[in-house]
Amino acid sequence: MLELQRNVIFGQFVDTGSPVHRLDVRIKLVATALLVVASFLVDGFLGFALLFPLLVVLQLVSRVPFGYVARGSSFFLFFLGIILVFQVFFYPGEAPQSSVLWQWGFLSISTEGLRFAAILGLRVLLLYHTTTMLMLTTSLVDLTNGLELLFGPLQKLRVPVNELVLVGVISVKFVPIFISEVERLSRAYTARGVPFDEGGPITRARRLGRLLVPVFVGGFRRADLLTTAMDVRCYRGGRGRTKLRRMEAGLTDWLVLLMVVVWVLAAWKLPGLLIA
Amino acid sequence: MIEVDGVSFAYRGGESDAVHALRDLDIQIEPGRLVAVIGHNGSGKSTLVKLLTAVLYPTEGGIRVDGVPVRHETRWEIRSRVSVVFQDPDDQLVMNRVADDVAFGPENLGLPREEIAERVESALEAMGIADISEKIVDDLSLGQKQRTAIAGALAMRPRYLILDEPTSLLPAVAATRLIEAARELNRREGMGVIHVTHSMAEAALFDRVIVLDTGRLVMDGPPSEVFRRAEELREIGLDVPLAASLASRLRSHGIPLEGDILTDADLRKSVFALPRSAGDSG
Repeated sequence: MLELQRNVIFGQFVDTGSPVHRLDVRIKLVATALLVVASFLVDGFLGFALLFPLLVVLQLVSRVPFGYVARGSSFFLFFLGIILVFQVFFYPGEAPQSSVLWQWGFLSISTEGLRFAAILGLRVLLLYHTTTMLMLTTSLVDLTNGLELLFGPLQKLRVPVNELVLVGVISVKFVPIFISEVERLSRAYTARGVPFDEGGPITRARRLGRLLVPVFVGGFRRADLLTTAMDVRCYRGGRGRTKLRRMEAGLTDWLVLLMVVVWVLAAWKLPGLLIA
Repeated sequence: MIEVDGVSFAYRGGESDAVHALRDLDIQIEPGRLVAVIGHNGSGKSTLVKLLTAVLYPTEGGIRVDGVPVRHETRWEIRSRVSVVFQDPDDQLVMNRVADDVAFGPENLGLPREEIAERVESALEAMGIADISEKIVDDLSLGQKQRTAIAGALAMRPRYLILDEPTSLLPAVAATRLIEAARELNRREGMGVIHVTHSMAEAALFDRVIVLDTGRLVMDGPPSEVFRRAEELREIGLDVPLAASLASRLRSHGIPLEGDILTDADLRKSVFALPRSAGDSG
């Protein structure tokens, strides 16, 4: 049996009504963007050590159970693990301060390779956790309204911002639907004697391939139906649309943003100052 | 008034392998009526729904909604008068919070915020789901999702509400409740309801039943009249409601049941109203 829904949480929204959920969406988007930038700027264990408490705080305040996020990330972590192993083995290892610990043909493990893979892993984890938390704590309407506002200036360059944002947001909504479709189909196949959880990895992958065509056909059918449904509800792009929800950034929202800015700056600059 | 006048529709119209979904259809539906449209798969029901909401346009003939001809240029006008709810709520809910999804339509109409809020509230109340307005759609039961979808259509304040097989995925109890809610809307707001279904039992609850078969109108009248033609219905792959069919067989055995029998309740009433002697002799 394939159990995907519990193992992939991308695109889901967990409403706990926490302060993180109530944060103004524009502030939330900017803060997420800052953390994404930070994940590229920070280079060193000390920097990440400074940043990770922020994620812990975020996780705690959001009241989204950590177990839920961890279990929901197992697929992602599995792939990340494989990639990091490759990074270690295939690291060129020519840096002067690097020493080779083990070598066999073209495969080698060097101290610099280990360090590089570890930093890369931390970087991806930071990226993954912040964007996942954004999705888990933001409803689609908030996400749409926030993105539309942030990218609004692009409209002057005739970029169809409203349409692009809605398409993006709807595709996020479709991920869980697709996942449940894959699960449903795999159950139907299992009932007719296709064992998805037996055999080696290659056999399993090949069996999963059988699901591709029906899932895609189903996807197109759904997309078509949704288009019609939006059409009959008078959706004609962003033109003339009004909004039910009001966006209001209060003092708390700005303070949160300030905190994130300071925290990111500290993680970026402090390690350099301490060493120097 | 919805006027369907000599309408034919062919997918890939004009080509030699065109598939005719509707042929020479004439239907008039007065505002504020409860109409059921029945027919088996491929009878043209869904095509009719798409024509009435300006998703498709007739290959021949014309449709007018309250005097407005259904054309590409008038589609927004038509869609603000005619709302539709489809079979699977997962395919039509756009946003993931109940109130946000119900607001999607009115937001598209560009209404002021206060009016959107008022419409959302009254639509949620009409469907009896005001208590879940802040819930996440994914956490709802199928029946609640379907009610959300209908509330979304109601928030458009249409003159005609089309329900395109919205009950086919629901358990029987939820389906009955949905039909009751639609009848209530019709009673209170005078909204016309056009219910497309293949459940004969549901069709029996409407004022008028329109039967389609392979794109043609084959019967049109009150349910009592339509279901009396049980043989013809069976020939086109439809069945009369169980109560009606049981009643007609009881009658053929000489049991004098009174009145039009369409639903289980009708049958019960007639059976209890039988004179004692009729029961003893039968």
